Amino acid sequence: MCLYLRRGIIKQGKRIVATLLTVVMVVTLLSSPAAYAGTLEEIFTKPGTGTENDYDRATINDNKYKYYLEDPDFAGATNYTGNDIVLTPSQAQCNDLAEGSTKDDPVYVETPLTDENGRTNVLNWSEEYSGFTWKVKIPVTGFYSIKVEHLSVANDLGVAPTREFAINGEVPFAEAVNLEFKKWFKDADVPKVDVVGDESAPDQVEVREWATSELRDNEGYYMESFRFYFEAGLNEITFNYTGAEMYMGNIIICAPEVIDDYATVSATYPQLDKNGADIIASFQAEYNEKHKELDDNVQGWLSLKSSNMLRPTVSKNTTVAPFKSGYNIINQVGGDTNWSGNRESLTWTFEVPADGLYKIALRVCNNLNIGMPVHRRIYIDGEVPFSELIAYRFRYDYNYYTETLSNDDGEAFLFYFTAGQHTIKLETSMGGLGDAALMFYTQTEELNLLIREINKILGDNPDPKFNYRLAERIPHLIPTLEKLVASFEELIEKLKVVCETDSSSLINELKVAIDTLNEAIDEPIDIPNNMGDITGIQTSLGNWITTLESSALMMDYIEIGQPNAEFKNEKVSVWAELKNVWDSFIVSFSKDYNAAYAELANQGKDIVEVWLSRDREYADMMMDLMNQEFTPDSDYDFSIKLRIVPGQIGFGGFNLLLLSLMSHQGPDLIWGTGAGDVVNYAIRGVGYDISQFEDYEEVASRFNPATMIGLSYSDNSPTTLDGVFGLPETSDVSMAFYRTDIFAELGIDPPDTWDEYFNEMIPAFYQENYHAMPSGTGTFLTQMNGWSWRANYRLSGYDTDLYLKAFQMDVDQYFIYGIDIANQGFQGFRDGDYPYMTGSIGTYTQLLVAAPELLGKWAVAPLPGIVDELGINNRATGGAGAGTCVSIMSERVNFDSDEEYQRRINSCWEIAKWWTSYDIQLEFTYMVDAKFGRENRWTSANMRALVDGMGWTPAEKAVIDEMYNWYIATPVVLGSYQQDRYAGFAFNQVVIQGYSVRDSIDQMIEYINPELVRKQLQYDIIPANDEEIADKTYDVSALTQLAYYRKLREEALKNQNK
Amino acid sequence: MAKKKDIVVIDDVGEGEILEAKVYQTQSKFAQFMNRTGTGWLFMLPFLVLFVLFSVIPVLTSIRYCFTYYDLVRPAEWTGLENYRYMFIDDDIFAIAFKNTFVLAILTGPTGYILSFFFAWVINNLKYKSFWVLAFYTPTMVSGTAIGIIWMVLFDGSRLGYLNYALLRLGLISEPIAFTAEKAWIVPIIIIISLWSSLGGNFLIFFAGLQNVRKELYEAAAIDGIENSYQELWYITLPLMKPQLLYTAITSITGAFGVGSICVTVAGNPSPDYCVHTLSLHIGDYSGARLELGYACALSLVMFFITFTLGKVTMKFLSSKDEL
Repeated sequence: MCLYLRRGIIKQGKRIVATLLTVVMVVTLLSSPAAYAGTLEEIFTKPGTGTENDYDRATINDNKYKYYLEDPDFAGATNYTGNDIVLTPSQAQCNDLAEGSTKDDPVYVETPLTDENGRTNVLNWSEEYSGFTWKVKIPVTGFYSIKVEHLSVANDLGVAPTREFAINGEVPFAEAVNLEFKKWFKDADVPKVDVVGDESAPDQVEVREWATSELRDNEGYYMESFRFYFEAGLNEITFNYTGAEMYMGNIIICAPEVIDDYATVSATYPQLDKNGADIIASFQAEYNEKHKELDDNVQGWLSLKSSNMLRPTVSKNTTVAPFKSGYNIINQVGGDTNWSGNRESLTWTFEVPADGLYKIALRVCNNLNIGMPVHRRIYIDGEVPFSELIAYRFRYDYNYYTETLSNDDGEAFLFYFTAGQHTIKLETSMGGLGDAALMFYTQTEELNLLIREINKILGDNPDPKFNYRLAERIPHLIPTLEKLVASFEELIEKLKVVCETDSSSLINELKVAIDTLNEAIDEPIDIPNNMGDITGIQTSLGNWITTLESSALMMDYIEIGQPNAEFKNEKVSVWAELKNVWDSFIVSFSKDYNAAYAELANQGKDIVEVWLSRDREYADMMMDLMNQEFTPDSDYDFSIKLRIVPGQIGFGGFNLLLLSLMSHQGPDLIWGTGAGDVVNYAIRGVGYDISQFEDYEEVASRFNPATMIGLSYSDNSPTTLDGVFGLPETSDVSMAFYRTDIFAELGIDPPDTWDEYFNEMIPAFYQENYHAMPSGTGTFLTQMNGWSWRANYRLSGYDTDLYLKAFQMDVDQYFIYGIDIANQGFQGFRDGDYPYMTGSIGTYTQLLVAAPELLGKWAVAPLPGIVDELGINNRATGGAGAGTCVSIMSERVNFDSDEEYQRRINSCWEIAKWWTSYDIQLEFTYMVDAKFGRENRWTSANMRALVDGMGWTPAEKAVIDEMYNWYIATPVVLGSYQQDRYAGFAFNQVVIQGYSVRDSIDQMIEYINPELVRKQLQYDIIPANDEEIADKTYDVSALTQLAYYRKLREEALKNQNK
Repeated sequence: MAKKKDIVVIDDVGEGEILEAKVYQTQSKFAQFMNRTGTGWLFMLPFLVLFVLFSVIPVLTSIRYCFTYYDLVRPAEWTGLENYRYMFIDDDIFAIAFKNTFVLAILTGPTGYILSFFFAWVINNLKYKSFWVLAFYTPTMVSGTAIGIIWMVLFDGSRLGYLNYALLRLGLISEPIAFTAEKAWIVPIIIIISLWSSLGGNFLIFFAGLQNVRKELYEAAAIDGIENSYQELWYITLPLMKPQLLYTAITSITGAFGVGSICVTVAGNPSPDYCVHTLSLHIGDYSGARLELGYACALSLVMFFITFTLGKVTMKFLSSKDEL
């Protein structure tokens, strides 16, 4: 029986397999594109009648300086070689006073400087003057360089002044829109040592000296300074204000600089003995003037740097001196975001004992981008001595190595120095990589356009079995792809030369890209299936631009020796490494980091215990600031004990703060916690109402009023709790981003209302196969002037008609307007599939830093709104508003008397006020910038510091101001989690499971209100009565929350009455 | 001194009876007890101290707190049986969580148990055992991060999720499936993932057990007339592996009842319509998000009694056949 059955199964199995195979074969045959193509193509597409190429492909990126030089109008023009033409400030004409300027005379201002040389006849150019123009007579048609004398204004800020440059009213190329005039800094002191023995970088002080700078690109893409084309005769040159005030001296129009090569230069050296073998100077790169003052044997020091971000850094490499296992010792210059781009430069001064010929060795490390060389432009005594040093290449090596400045054959360059002090300056430059990166820009742009054209035909979800006949519908598809392949191949050849290697990760990636594109050329029919790979190329190219722009180099020391000197090249020894690991391990037992922060406590004053929820790097910077302010001899009658507890002071879940509060051992002040968390603690009895302080109003005016609502709480309970429980540190705001290139192509403006969004933008998008992203019920609700709660925050507002309307609007996005529920957000925006997205300030910096290929192709806009009955476009939105805050947590039970308690509270208040003040917030913004780069910007809650620290353009500033006005904070309400939860469930039920809207809402209210009541009873609040439950009108609405909206409505009403 | 002397006398065979009685008289009950088991207690001391401090006392404390309202910040407030009233009468979600826990436990617990034994047994009969063991045990070692990386990418709801992408490309679906948002998909996905991640631990114990069964027994059994490996399994292997079977059964049950973190990874917390809200998540919800520790304690006690009872039942069931 059994046997029989088994045989039967096998028989049947065979039959099943055979059937399956047949089915699979049939399906494969049917589904192969060729089988379809012949029959359906005529119905859907006729060859050649697809989208036309409506872009002017010739205009791609041609506004860069690289293409400016290739302008056919300039053919035959040569470099000017005559004398300098000097334009003085007194010849300048002010074009226009900036709006709101208090100056009445729009001409130059003669300002005698009080500090150096009493120099007169300079432009004291503050933001009140928008631009100055000079008329200049040019002797011969040709290319000219331009130099500018400039001096920064003493304000201790790290932001360098920038100006736009125009010839005859036209900005000649993209790079001239924003020309930077460097400020100069130096270390104020030797590195600081903290209690545990770690060193931190010294403060930076500004060095104010007149400098003459050539106009060059800010990033170091080009090896030469800009050459501008002038026709003979009368010309006008204009500088326009784009950021930060400065003094401007003469403008010199001169012949482009010619730098001879080493052979020519060395021929002019005096005949001197070349046999010496001494090393005449050897000094640590991180040494500064103070080191020299303290120790006369120091032979050279870092005397000037182009930014206050270029602080000396710590290397854990055992060959770097000075070195101490387990400790952070400042022992090098440079780092991944420090001396790594933007033409940042460091200048060292050294002493030469006697006239002679010398060679120079640098102990460097380039290991941040695998396989990629970095370049430096090297100046000796302010000049590039010979052409080999225009972009000197430092090869990639994982370890430190000693680089003797030499030619490609390893023959060391000799420099002629007279006895006395000389300087060597190393400036970041992209060298040969600059050209490669420029090619990247063009290629990504080309590819981007092509992808957009293909996507217009394919849509978001192409049918893989359909022949779209792409090659015929986009006639230039194959030629463009071939052009791209050719240009990638050219790029690889270039990179092989620059990187001196055949297989860096960049080259490999390009090879993969070439394969992908070749596949597309061979089999255009498969392009729909390979779109992911093709868009992938675009993204990775974009990422490589960032990598190429970063040319980080670390430097340990510099040595200068006679021609026969032998420079050491220490190698990392395995034993030293192992010993270091062991020693560090041992040291880690005795190193108490918190002791480092408790340093301020040892002053014999009342101690305020501050808990900070941030990483050590942030804590270090905050500590620096505190050390300057709360010194033992300051007027403050307290001292601070700082404790670093990252992620331990939130609310919800068990953490250090909660547990310490249980046992009444909590801190006095918490720093870096969420706004909602603070209020939640306050509801449970820990917290202090800061609105009791006399100067509260004044302090609160630093912030957006709505931000303060998120930190306040009030209820109508017998044990009335009403107050504000913290000061905000950071804030954020929602705004919209759109692709200017795509919007221009579609001929539409970013939408102002949701009506425009759904009925104008989305149809325009869909016609060209672009996609849109959804918004949420909350935003719609507040913009309809609704609110999530009613009856004084005791009942959910989700059972009102307005909520139903907002929810319906939310749901319609998916059902009527066909928006995807899951979308690709940032990446979609970058690829151009989603030309419009909403985001926050974080998105803004992300776009700025992580998507360099999009620069100039996107802009910010205010969020769309809903127009109310008075015609006001209500753009109110919550969303990305909450940041972190500072809050007082002292508990009365821990003090013997009310006076003591009050004194401690006052001390906490002083700290909170100090931290949120404009100066400190601005300084901290710059410190974070310097340490972590722009992508980790500190978005201060102090509105003035935020605006001044971010460097926004006026247009962007207007958008952000507007959105801050419309920012509506969500207050903490007991049991609000229930509301969020069930709103999520209702959304899921309707959009995914297809329930009816009304049913879902009715069901959700059944669960929300009882939980709110239960929670209210726990905190002795009298729940709403039956009457209030029945009355579904709003007593709290967005209107009462938002002062800005109230103001607009009052104005509108007044106008109506008139 | 007396003690020593007594002991010496005990050793004296001649007058043993009487002297022994004398010994019991001279020593207190406690001293006798310590005398016999003192060294044992000494060895157990470190464990005992920790066990009492971190297990016994907390359980007792939570029994106290389950009759209070306690939010950690303010002092606990006595509310009597209110928490239990709320749990069994008002808290709809408790019923849902209770049901979900049982469904998941029944679907994953025994299945996982049987599967891991099956695989252990199969692999024990294979070549290159250590490779297979490693392959099976790896998920247990990496589960936390792997769940996030592998499974969530696989079941991602957008067009770019691996499964969605594959299905879209094969033309089997035309719109991406929201695997982690649709109720119908969430439960099977969670079962698959928890089976995958729990298999390894039990498997290893079973495998170790199988290794312990002495080869001679199989030979002896073959002589005694056992015909095939199924009989070997039933008559020799299984009875010999009773300790492992018991231990694993109990850990499987407690494990299956404690399921929670996987649900959060897959479906978020709370899951849509609480469709995979389990008891342990319910406890976490009240102790963490709502800070109602009293109620959370009451819930934990209920869960404690459920798992305890089930453990007892299992022990009874597996111990009934007793020795070989």
